[in-house]
Amino acid sequence: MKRSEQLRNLLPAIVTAVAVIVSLAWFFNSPRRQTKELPKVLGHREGCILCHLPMGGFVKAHDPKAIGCASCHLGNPFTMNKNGAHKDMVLVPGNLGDAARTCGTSRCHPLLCTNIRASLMASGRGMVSVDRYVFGEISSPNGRGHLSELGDSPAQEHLRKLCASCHLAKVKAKPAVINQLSRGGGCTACHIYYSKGARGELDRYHENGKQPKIHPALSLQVSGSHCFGCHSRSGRIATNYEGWHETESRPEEVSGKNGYRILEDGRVFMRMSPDIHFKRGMECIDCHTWREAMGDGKTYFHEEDQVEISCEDCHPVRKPSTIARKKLKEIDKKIVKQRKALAGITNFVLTSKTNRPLLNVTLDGTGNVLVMGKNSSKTYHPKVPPSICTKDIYGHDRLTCQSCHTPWGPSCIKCHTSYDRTGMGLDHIAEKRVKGRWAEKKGKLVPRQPALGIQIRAKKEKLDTFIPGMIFTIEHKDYPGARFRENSFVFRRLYAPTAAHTTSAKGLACRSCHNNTVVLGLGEGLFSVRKSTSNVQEMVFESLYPARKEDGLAEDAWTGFLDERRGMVSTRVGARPLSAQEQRTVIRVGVCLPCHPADAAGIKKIYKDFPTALKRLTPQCRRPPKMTFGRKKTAK
Amino acid sequence: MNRPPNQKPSFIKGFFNSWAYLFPPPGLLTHAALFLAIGSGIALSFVYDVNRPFDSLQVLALGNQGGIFIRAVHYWSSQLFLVLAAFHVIDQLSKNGELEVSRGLWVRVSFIVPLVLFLMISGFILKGDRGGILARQVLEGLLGTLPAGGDILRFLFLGSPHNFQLIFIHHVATTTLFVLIFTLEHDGRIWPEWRSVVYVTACSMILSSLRTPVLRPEGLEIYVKGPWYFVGLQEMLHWASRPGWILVLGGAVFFVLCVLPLASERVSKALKRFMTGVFLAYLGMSVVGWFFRGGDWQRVVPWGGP
Repeated sequence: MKRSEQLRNLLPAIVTAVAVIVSLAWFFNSPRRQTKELPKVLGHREGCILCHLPMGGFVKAHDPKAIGCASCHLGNPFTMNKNGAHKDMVLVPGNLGDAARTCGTSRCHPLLCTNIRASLMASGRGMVSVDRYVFGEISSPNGRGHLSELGDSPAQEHLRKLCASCHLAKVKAKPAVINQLSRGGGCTACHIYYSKGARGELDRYHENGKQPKIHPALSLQVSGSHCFGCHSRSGRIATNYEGWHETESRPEEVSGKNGYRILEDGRVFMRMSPDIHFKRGMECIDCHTWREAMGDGKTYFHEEDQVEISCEDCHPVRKPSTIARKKLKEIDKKIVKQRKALAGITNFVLTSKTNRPLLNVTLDGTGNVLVMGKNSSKTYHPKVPPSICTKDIYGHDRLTCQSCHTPWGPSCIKCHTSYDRTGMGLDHIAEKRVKGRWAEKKGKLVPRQPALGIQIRAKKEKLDTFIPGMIFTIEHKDYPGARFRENSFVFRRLYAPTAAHTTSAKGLACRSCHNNTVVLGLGEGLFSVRKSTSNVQEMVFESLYPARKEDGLAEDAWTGFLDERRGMVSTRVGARPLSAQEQRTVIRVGVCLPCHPADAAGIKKIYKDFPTALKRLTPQCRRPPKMTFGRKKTAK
Repeated sequence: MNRPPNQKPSFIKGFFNSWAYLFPPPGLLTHAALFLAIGSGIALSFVYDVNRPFDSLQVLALGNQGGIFIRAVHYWSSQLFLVLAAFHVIDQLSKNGELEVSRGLWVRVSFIVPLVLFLMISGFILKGDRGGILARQVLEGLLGTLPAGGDILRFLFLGSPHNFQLIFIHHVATTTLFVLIFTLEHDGRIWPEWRSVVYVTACSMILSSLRTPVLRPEGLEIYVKGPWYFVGLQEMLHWASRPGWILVLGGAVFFVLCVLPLASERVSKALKRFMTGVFLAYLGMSVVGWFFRGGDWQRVVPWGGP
């Protein structure tokens, strides 16, 4: 055999030997031998810790010493190469698109991650369906839409441009302190809290790229400011709750004036009466449960369906049902364990609607309800409803608590929405400016008592509060696509049910409803009595606002005086304004109230059994027997 | 047997003719890849701790760039070995190579196929990460479905549950030894051909520098797939109401491979068609499993995002 052939034959062995020697030398001269001392988290080591610790600011459950960094931020924890470690990393782990791999893994919060996808705050299902219903694209406001899966129809385009920023599934691209402009971010929309230190570190990071050493806390300390960004819009329950009503004023017009507040987005609010629960120091989560916020896994159409609490849970008329701590579900036990304020509670009041535990509501030694502030640890002793609420007054059995305890709500009485094909608008789903713009020309926004109307709850008719959901015109004649030409101009007069979150401690006076044209759904105006041609006294209604040419009703009205308005009248299936007969019944009591005020001595004998009282009219009660209801009259 | 050798179908003939222009024969490359895998495996064994498999690899991955590279070379040379071995088998069967060796040697050579598969999956299991543990569970479950002797086989191949000792021994010694012996015996040479070594080493190093094999801890991913060559098996397991039949099918293919030299030309063609059908079906299921399956066996599209 030639020498060259011998060498060739030996080559593989030489190559292998060299590879082995090099690799061993490489390994034993490793500059990172300290990795052997890296602590294990969740059964594995993480290289992230070598570069990023010490890092403070965490609550115990989310401390990197317990769960590492990669559990939330992904990436590759098994390399010390920066680029390799940061590959496929998630900067804001709570975004719902990533949540199944971060917050929602099987050993962390799988149930919540599954539930939240079906929840209304993530899907905006009700918002999508109602909008499409109003545009005439679907036949019912109960649809299965999702803000993350919008199509290209005018309504869906409208949602993309004007509404889709307010939902949990909106991606939060960068870490940011929660403020009034915060939107989306999935789990982090509510559960992230920037301490002063963390805020300063984040600012420094933005200024000079210096790696933060204080992490925002991920905790159960969800404050009202987390909810404020989204809920200060539309029904504006966050601002209502704090006693602020949006105006059409510009910031410079009210600057320095008392009684006004300018939000970070430039909207100007004026002082109104706040909700009694806010006055007492209660936060949103002191009433609302985790199941309402993150969903219970079921699919609901509208928020009032997903809400499981009711006033009666804390203000019960009879002793509420409770559940013992040991019988709680694991997730509830976990929450109770995490919250210091709830440590001493052994029995939890169950919701009357869904029979599920309210984790901060219990009964004291005397059987009275006791509410604990989840964040504040304050103790509240909710009042027991007075007899006027608990004992039936004739004709009031269908009323909800908020019908009498909602002094005001925001009412936008006119709006025109039009599509401008040439303009540019921000698509909140795609996160970019695209061609086509929706322009809103708003009318007057007034704080006033909501109208009463009929809602279907648990297959029963309930008298509840309504505000003008949409009295408006939509115009999209130049919207691209011939198939969208139909319904390119529509007028709608729809009222929406509202939980205004402006609850007053004291119930409203009888005349607030019985002599209030707004509550009757007629809009602002006056009743007057006049003699008819046949010499009979008749009551007529004169509206403050002019009639609209589309339907002849006053601009702010829901229905006409003694009208039977049906069909497309509300953003909810089955909801409607008062019928003509119901209006008559309400007004009939209102006629007596000026002379027989509800707080007069011995007055109960009149209103407790009103039909009998009507049979005992004295000659002084001159109006009622002869009175008839005249034709409606609307200002021109 | 009176069958003429070298009767290749045109497509395969064309493919291997083109191959011959560019590379050494697949058999020689396979031989070289085996040696490279063994060499890099020996280097890895210095740092691999069978009592804490996942942790020892983590320490390696976090502590030493060279170690990471050697592990990557081991990984990629093994993958190349598997792919090249498959090409070599197709090449040989297409030209009736089974007739060119003694029947005894052919049977021994046929044993390389299941041995290589076990070698590959045992290496995957030895990572001890989530993927490895799940693969072990699948294999344990599959062997457990055998009506008789399943438990014994499970113990013989995989050892005690949660213990990697026997799998490690099989991987570095038993299986490797048999594969090496049978390879060297039918190849007729000990050392691999130098050109093949250069090709395979260069290829492995390039791939290693481009992509290092990942470790998957519990919980960081929604779902973990098996190694690419077993994704087809996972897909089959999902479809099969009786997983034992998959082992029967695999056994049948192996049996057919062993008895090929005994078959007449007509029967041999039929048997090869049967094996080709099984191979293509497995390939199809691998493609479906790899690209079109997400978590919970849901249908996904590769361009659909995570």
